[in-house]
Amino acid sequence: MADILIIGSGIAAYTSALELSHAGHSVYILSKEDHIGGKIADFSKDTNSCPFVENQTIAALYLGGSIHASATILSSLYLQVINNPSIKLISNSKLVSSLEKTDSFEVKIDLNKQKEISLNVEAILLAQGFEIFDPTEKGEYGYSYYKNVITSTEYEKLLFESKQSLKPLTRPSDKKKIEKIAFIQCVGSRDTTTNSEFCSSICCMYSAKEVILTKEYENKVDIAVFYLDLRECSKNFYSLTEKAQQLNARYIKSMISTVKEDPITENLSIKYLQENIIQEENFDLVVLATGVRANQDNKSLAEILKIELDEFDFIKTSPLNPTATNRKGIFTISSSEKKALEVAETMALVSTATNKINKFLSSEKIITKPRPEKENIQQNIGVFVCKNALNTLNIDDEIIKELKNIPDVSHVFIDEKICTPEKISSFQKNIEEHDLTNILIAPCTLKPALNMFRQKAAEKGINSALVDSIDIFNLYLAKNNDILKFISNTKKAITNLKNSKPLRYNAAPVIQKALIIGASFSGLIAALKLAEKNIPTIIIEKTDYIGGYVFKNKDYIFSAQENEFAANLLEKIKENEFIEIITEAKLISFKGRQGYFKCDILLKDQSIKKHECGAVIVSTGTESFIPNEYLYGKNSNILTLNDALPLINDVSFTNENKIYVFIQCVGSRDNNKPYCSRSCCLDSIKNAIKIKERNPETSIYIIAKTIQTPGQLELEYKKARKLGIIFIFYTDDKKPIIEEQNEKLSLTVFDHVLNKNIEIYSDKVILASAQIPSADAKELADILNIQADKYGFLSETHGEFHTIASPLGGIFVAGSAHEIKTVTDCISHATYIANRALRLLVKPYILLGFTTADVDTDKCAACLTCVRQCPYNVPQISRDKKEMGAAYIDPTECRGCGICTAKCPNKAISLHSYEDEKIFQMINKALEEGSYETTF
Amino acid sequence: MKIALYPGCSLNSTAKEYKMSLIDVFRELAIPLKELDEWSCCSASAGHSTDPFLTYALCLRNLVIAENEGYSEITLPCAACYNLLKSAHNAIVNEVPEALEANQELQKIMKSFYKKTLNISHPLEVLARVENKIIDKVKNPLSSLKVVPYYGCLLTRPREVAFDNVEQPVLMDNLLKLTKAEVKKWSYKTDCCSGSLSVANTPQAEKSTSLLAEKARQAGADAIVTACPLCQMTLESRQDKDIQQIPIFYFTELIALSFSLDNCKTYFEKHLINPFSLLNKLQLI
Repeated sequence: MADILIIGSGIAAYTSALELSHAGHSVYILSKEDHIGGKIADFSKDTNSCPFVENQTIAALYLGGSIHASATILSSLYLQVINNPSIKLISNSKLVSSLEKTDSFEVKIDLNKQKEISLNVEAILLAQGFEIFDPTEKGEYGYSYYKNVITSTEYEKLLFESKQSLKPLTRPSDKKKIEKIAFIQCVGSRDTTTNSEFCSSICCMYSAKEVILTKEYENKVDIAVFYLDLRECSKNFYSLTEKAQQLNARYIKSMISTVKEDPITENLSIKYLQENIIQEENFDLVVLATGVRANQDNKSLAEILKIELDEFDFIKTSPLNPTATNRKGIFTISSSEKKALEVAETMALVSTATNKINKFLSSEKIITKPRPEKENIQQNIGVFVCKNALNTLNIDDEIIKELKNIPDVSHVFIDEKICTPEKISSFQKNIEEHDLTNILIAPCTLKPALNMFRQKAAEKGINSALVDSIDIFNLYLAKNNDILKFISNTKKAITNLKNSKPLRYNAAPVIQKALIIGASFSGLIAALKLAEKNIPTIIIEKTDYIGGYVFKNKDYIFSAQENEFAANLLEKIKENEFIEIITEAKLISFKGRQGYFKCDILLKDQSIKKHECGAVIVSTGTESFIPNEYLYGKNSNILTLNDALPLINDVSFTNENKIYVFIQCVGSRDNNKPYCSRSCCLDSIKNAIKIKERNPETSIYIIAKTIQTPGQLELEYKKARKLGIIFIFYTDDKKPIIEEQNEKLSLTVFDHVLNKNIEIYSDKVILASAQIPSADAKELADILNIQADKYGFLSETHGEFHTIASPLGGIFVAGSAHEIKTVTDCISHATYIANRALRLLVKPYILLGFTTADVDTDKCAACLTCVRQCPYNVPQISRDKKEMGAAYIDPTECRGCGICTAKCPNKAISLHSYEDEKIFQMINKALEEGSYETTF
Repeated sequence: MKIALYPGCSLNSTAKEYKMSLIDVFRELAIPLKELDEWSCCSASAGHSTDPFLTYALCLRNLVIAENEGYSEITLPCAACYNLLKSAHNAIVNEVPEALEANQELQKIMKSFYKKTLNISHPLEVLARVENKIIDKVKNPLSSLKVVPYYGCLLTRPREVAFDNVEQPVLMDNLLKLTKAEVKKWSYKTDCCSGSLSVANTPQAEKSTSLLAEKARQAGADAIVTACPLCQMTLESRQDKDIQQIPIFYFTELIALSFSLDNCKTYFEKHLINPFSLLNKLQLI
């Protein structure tokens, strides 16, 4: 296969390496760090020792909306990468030169700063991420001059270390207990003086996260957050700032120009404006929410690879082709538009990039290795313990004796860093040499290590149900370094393992076809991706219009180039033999399992079309909310933005000197719909600029609750203000009031700067109203049995890393049906979703039925209890001659919930992994061992 | 190489002690300095706010004279003069239309135009280059004197004329440390003293100046050190008169004091706030 060079050290680099290796390629990861890096966790402290156990200062950073430690995820990725034979990790090295050839690149790498090596690669992926601004440059805030002014990264570490050691929060200068903290937003963002006029887009959210974590740890700390605009436009982000305020953090809309230090107390003093009165307040600690910068290597990479950078040195990408650079064969996971990407966005772009690379290399091989399994005659239980984990607990080698004394244990192995490649091969050798049948691993904190050991054991013929782990770290956390406890827990785990039965996988057939519900922009993109792999796809659309919101408005929101893209897209879809679009059609009934769904589609002529498919993608998009205020519908000069867009495009609309007012957030960001509708700020601003540039004599006011222009879009906001467009901010309790007055509309609004009401006699009022999920989304969710939130957005299984699949598998949500997205994000998201669907659809079968219920037909009386109890309608009374009159549970459909097992009056059903015999053995062992907590 | 000295109006009048101490210090350090012949107004007080063309013309005239007299560097002790002449130089470099126009007019009148060859500096920069020489000349270390440096507004703003860190400048701090004076840390180095409102809105100037004096005291300083005639004058004249006022020095005066130069007493006699009680108490004079 091809060789691909990935440059980067963080989650994007590692995830894309794994995805590309799964597609059959061999990959080099070129990292300038000597540890796994990136922005979501900090492993920099321990570079030589075991990175997993001994690193106690892992801080979770910059996860945007989500609040949980990401160290485990990174560690897991690292583990997979170093143990993957197709991936070579080149650490502590840099790219020196690159020579472009016909179909490849000859690259030279400065290996470990010692010698130069040469590699031939067919594609290059740049995933080196962004950097954080050093606020020393903003001397007015005193960073690096005043000890108690720190950056948000430093604060995360301070908070983490205090929590780890269970100590109160203390500040750097005198270790005094922190009682008052000030957060200052936008430090080094939206700033001409530091050449960063963009919005860094992640700081509002990471500050909210830090505030919440602080308040949850020490409730009495008084926190003030000084901001200008809150950028909280992604899914559920608004709820974070809401929560922060519910926890009594004070959010104060006031720009801070300087921080002063009291030379004796080293407290910091901040002056700000609140309700037009200047206040001055002292704080123990000031945290600067520092913005992002392009990676410092970008300039040299641009020179070496001849790629284009934007004006802020980020790699230049196009909104419609977010992973391509200007050079053939060189791709990137970065965003010229967004500047800094959240984890969910990164994951979507990783998938988009790997998809593009696979296409570019026109090669991809899905590898499925057959797994022959041993027939076990005699049980040989092997226990593998990681010495590094033990060392943290100060447990010594005496333990080997104790472990060997456990009955049923045949071999005990204690070694260092058991997860590294060399030790993994000893692991496999030991399995072979000693004929091991069941394995118990005691790794450090790494739950995902278990998956890897299972994989490696499977390569030697051991079923994954016969490999289990015991969590040493729980003991450590409980502050109880007790060998007896460890041995006791091990004994219980051995009992569990002894009584485990191998998992039997059933190969269930997959219908290699797809159904896409909603011919929206995202739906069309996904369809094309599926068609690339020859998957026949039917797109059903409830209206008679193809392309949704994006196509309806493309002439007014797209540039000429983007319009061409859209036109081409439609052409490609229409020509493609694998894609069929049925308009005015609805899904009315649905059942099945991932890989085999049976769908009933109601057509325009009221007939029903039956369709079978392996995967469903829901891309029903959004609709515009019809305002019920501001005299909408009662006066022809009051329009929604959608109504106005085609009119504004017409030159005659702006010929006379008129006064236009845009009202933003109509029906958005209120109690009914607290979410942000994402595109309205930019659409209004762009169109206001259009009008103003055509006729500078017009007066334009934009009245908003907040302006959401993250990343590069911030420059449009600035441009609008420079052109003289006036922005006024309102709150829900002081909404603008419109009255008809002669030919004009009198609009009264409370101006936050003048601190009084002003009256604007407008010619036209344009309402930027909310985008709401398709009216049928909730009904569709019921039919598909997936979750919709109370607003109608369809849910995902996990905020960052599984932003797609519903827990049932096989059903995916793409585009704005999931969360309102920009057009660029829709492209990467739809590609990501299509890739996930393809994982299911490219093979004619899927392995299912891990934990399933089994009916003992001798005991079954066909009482129908299980049939009635099962929430998924799986059990059937078999008419098969062999099992006449007994319940049959299809293992490919059973979800393993255990309800039927518990309810069966005759105990005829047993649930795999939870057999009665096993449970009894475990209970006995637990009672025997005494009152230690179990670690199952 | 001789450096041209542009005194501006204040150094011959209200800031005479600044000029005296500056010349004495430069002489002691053997830095050749000569007052620019025929120098004229730079428009810093009122002129510059009336007309950009006038401002450029007045400034460029002086730069042309300096070039023609063969100087490669001109140093301006007054921050306002420094700011304006440096801006005029930058305007020629950046081809600002009004500046180019003024330059052309000068060609017609003076038969010469500004050729962008001069290094326009503030004495802080010049002295910063000879730190080792300064160390050698210190005979009267000012170790008992606690001071804070006040840079005012014009030395570091706008960015295009700044020769030091814009928000946290250090040149004066470093020079004062060479005299062994204890330079205290404070957050008000470049804060407004409302000097431009000194006459039009005296209460405001008093308020801002008194605040600066108070912050200086809080920082543990006995005196404030300045590098501009207007700073020194405002800080001296607008302090709250009901409390013990804090003396204001020019950095050149303190350097001269540390060199034990003869004329020191004459500088201090010209201050509005008597510094002798402080200097006597600390046995520095």
